[in-house]
Amino acid sequence: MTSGGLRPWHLVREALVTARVQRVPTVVTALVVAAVCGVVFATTGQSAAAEQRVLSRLGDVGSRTIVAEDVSGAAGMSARSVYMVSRLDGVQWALGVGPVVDVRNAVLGSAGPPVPGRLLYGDVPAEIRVGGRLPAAGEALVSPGAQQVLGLAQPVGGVMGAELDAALVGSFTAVAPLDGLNDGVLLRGPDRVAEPTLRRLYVLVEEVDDVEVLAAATRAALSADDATQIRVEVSTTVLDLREVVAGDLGSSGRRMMLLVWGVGLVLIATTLFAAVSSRRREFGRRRALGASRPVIVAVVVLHGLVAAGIGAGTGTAIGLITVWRTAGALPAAEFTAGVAVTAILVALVASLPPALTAAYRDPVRILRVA
Amino acid sequence: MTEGLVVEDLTFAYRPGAAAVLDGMSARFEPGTVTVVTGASGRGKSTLLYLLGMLLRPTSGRLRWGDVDLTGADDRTCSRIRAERIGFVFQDALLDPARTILDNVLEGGLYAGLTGPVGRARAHDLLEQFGVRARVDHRPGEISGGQAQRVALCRALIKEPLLLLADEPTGNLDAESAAVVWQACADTAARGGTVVVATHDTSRAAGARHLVLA
Repeated sequence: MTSGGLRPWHLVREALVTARVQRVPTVVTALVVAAVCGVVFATTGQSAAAEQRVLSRLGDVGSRTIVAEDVSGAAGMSARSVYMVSRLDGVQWALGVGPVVDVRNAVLGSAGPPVPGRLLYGDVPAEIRVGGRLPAAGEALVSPGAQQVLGLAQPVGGVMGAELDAALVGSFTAVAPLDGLNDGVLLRGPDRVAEPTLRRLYVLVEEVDDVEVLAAATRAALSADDATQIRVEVSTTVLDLREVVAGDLGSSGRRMMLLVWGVGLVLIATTLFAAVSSRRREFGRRRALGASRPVIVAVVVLHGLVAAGIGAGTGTAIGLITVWRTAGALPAAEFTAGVAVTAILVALVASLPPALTAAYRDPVRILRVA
Repeated sequence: MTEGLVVEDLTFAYRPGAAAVLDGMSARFEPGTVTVVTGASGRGKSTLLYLLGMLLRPTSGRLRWGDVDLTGADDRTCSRIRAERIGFVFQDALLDPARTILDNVLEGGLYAGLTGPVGRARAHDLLEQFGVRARVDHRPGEISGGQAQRVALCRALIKEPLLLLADEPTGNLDAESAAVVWQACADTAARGGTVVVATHDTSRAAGARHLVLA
């Protein structure tokens, strides 16, 4: 007889055939793996989703904001700083705000009530929601509150202050981190001016993890007469809280996951041991027909992996649905993939002892009692 | 390895210090012959077959196939030889109850890589030859004991073995099925194979060489 010997795909096919014909061990193993995956999602998956949710909240605009403030008003922070900082990698936008001056309704003149007026430098970000058109240099936006104080029926007309006049072209409402601007008028200043006119520089960073690095970079990029007078602030409390949340939730989740996987390893190994024990005749027959020990190991392990793959897929799907329904959020994709891959790796490790037991069992002893 | 299978001064005990089941036995099994091994229960008939099939290792003595000494062969070598050159038939047909008759026969060639269309064609031919082709999609639980033993013969013969080892193959069979089994042994020998049958039933073993284990 001629033969090419047993090929790897023969083993894979044999494992698939075995998984199909040995339905009880396959289904039981798949169920155990699915249950372990489900428990992981129900425990650490919930934690991971909660962690993800809390971290995403802590990673919102507030924690991604850097504020450079001329505390004394003597730092001489140039509006050119806006241009310099906005060019830094990782900076979403930078907005310069000049010192507060009193502005009044131009129609009422100096007899009218004042509201705070601030010169803006840089592009108007989305956090300033504009009703009307964006102001050009020399134009202004008025907040609803200031509009009322100024006695304007519509956000149009003119405002005047010391050394400045501007036409109102619309209204605005600012949200965090710029919500402190909602009490007055925003006047659009000329771009790239060199005069020391900034009192505050707001910087929004794209990724919260980059905040501390970009805070240092912002300080270095500032154009000022006396940079020591400038205080650069980040929301360290939020950043610290973020680290604590990630650390605490993460470590408790990891401990729980280790425990679950440890129990899962024992359960899967026990299931596979039971499956192997119920198939003693099969392994004796295979050995008599010419299966070597490595082939027996491969068949048992691959069968375990096929069952584990089915279980991991099913358990992961059910786990994700459960977490979504109970926590209202999904764990990170890396976590989900990690659970499925770990389930299969655990099944691989758990299948080795029963596979070796099957391979090294004396075939004659089995055949004689068969 | 087309020459005879030789055992020299073969001794085997199942446990160290236990009484030897075979003690200093020597014999030669030639291609083209059927050797019937007889003897009372416990004399080592099945043990001899397992030793010849390299499922057991001799406690002492030698096992040669032609010029090749297989006494100390490793598991990989023994498995390869079993897969490619040795067919086993047991008293209990030892079929996989979860597989179809066809898949059971195909398993006989699996470990030699005899799969795919060639293996299937050969399996169908054998099942036809032994009168169980109609049961090809059935499970072992759905056929008789005689038919199961014929399927076991197909499984052993699918790789056209040089050595056919049969352990009480007709012990549970009716006369017709027993005759089929003996004819298969004779046909295998006629093709140049070496056949060794451990049995109490020598009534149909005409023309066979007899080896009595006392």
